[in-house]
Amino acid sequence: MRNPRGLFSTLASRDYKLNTMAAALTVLFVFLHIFTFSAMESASEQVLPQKHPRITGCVSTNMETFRCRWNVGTSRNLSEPGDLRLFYINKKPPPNSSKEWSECPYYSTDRPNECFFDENHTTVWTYYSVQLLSRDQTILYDENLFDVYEIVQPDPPVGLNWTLLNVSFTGSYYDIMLSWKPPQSADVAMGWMTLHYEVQYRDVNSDLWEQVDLVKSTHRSIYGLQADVNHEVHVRCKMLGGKEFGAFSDSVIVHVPFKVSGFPVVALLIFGALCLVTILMLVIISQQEKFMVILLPPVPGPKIRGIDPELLKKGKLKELTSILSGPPDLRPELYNNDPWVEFIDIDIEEHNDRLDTDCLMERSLSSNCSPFSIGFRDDDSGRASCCDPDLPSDPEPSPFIRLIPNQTHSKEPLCPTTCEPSSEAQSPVTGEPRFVAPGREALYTQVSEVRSSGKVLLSPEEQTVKSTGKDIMVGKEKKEFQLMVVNPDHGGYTSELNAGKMSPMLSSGDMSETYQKSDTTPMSPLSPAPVYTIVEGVGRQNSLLLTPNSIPAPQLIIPKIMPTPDGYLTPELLGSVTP
Amino acid sequence: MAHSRGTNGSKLFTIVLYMVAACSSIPISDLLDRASQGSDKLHSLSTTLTQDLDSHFPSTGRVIMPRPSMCHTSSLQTPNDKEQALQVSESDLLSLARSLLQAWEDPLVALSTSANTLPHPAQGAIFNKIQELQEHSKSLGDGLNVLSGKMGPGAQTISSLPYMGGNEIGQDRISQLINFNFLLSCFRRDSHKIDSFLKILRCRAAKMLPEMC
Repeated sequence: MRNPRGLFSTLASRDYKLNTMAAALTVLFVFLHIFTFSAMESASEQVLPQKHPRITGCVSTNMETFRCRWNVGTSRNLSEPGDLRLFYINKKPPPNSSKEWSECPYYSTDRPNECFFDENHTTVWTYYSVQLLSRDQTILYDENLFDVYEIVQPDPPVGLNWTLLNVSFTGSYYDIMLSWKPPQSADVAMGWMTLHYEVQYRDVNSDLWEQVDLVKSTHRSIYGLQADVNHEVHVRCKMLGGKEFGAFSDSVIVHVPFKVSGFPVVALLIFGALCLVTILMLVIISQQEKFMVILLPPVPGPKIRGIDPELLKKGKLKELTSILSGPPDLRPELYNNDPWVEFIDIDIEEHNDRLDTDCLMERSLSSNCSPFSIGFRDDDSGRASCCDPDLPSDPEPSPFIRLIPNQTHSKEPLCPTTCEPSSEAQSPVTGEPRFVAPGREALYTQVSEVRSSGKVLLSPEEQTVKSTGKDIMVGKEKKEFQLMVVNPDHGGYTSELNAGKMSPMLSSGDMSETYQKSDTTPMSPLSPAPVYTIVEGVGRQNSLLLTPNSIPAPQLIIPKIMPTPDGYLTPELLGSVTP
Repeated sequence: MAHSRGTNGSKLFTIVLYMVAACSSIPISDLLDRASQGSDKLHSLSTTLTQDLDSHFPSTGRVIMPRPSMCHTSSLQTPNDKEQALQVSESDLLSLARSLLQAWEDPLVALSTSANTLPHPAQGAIFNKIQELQEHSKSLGDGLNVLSGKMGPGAQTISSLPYMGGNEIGQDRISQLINFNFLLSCFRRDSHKIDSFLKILRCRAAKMLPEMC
């Protein structure tokens, strides 16, 4: 085993040696660096990164002449004029091509380092080769190859001017029209050069230029400039198909002050609007009713005249709905548009048991056909019911009595015993135009009078003959019938006036009398044309109040014909109604 | 001398123009306007096409570009500056424009077929633009044919400038690109010539409409 201390000592000594060597090396390196740096510095002082003379560019402004410029670079001994020379060769087409290099025809005097080629030395659509040589033509510094038509950069446009187009309504924005002229040097008039222009504008405070699309014309509009702000505008141009733009023109400052119009337009508008609104309101308020009628036409009330509004008041909706919702086959009849006369109005609820035709008869006097006073409070509808309790006192001839043999309605029991026309069956119906030949038992006639005794006096045939030809002839031998043949076309109510006149004058059983009476009385509806009227209500003594006879003769009801929406329910139809 | 001849020619042209304008349905100035718009479009297209081509390759290729005298249309004698151009008669100008346009019919086909397989990143866009170029060239040619019918016999002559290049523009990638570039630059120059001639014609015909020029 070696002595570790010795090892260590050797190691330590070795380390020491290494350390010294490293230190020496580093010192050496440092010295070397310093040395090289200094050397480099000295070298850079002597030999700068050499910038050779270069041709900076050849530019033509009008495609007739051009200039070539170069810079000297950093070489000191080339700063004198003549140290650099420009040579060119123009590679014209074969007939005129020269193989020799020529020197610049004219070295510019106003600017150094520029060569100007005038018209005589400029040809378009030929290649030029330009070389920058030293004085002794031994050193070629730079070379350039171009065609004149490609190096065109036009002069800036001149005469930039602007005019105000219009100002916005609020006065804070405006539009202007810019106009300019092409540069003097460019021959645009002969078509030798075609220029495209580019306009740029900006707010003087900002750095960003707004660009407008290229235009071929010498004017351009700019929209939406802000008032009270200085705008700077300039324009430049380039050849069609050229690569580079020319220089920008001089800038023009555009300024439009914010004009507060002395005429407060806005205030005036608001005032005018308010006035208009006020006037409208006044008009509407003053003409309120008219407007209400126009705008909201009154909804017509329900026209089911069989319905007593008292029912509604009393809240008897059940009967109401039962009346309204009749059997389905009744429904279509409710929407008929035929302008004709009302049905016999039946007040179902209260006079259900009074629908007997025997009310018309004498017998009924003592029966429960006592005059009713109820149910006739509907003022707007006329009523004529066959079984009107008032009828005995106020004869209202019902035109709707149909003579049907042996046809009895369940609700309308005939009174064969009391009715004189025993073989006939009477049922107050809507006049069905059953034209029966004379001799047949079924006849239609018109009731001319219903007497208090219950007798129904009918108009004789002659009358109906006179009125229309459609009347059924009732022979004079049938005078005992106190029923009249109903004229389906001209059945007729009579007015109260007529009825009133008739009642005191009528004598019982005298057909002719009645005939006469009816003839004499202005039953104008019968003689030429019997006229219906509407029962307005019940007067005193249970008399029917009828409207004046102004309604033209309407059609007689035919059960098949649909009643008007405000139609009455006929007794016949009523039979089918199930309350 | 040449100048007086030029002014006499222009006067004669104006008189002829008035007469023709009175008789014809579409005035010549309108036709010229349309034609110059078409040539506008043609030249713009070729410029953008060159930009597309150069976008991926630096223009060092310009240095090694073949000489422009090698364009197949260089044999045509055209005015080289403004003075010369303004002295050429109208029918001659139109004839030159028509000849140049006709000369590029076949080369455009060659460009189109080579654009199919051009080793260039923007090959698709280039191909589409070549197609557009062909269409516009065709429509402009038709328009110029119509125009020449109204401008006298001098406008009818078309110089033949055959294209000898065939449909192949190079074997390897580099030569393909170089030849394509070169052909396109020739086309650009010629389209600019056509455009300039037509603009000169238009401004001469539009003396009664000063706002056109």
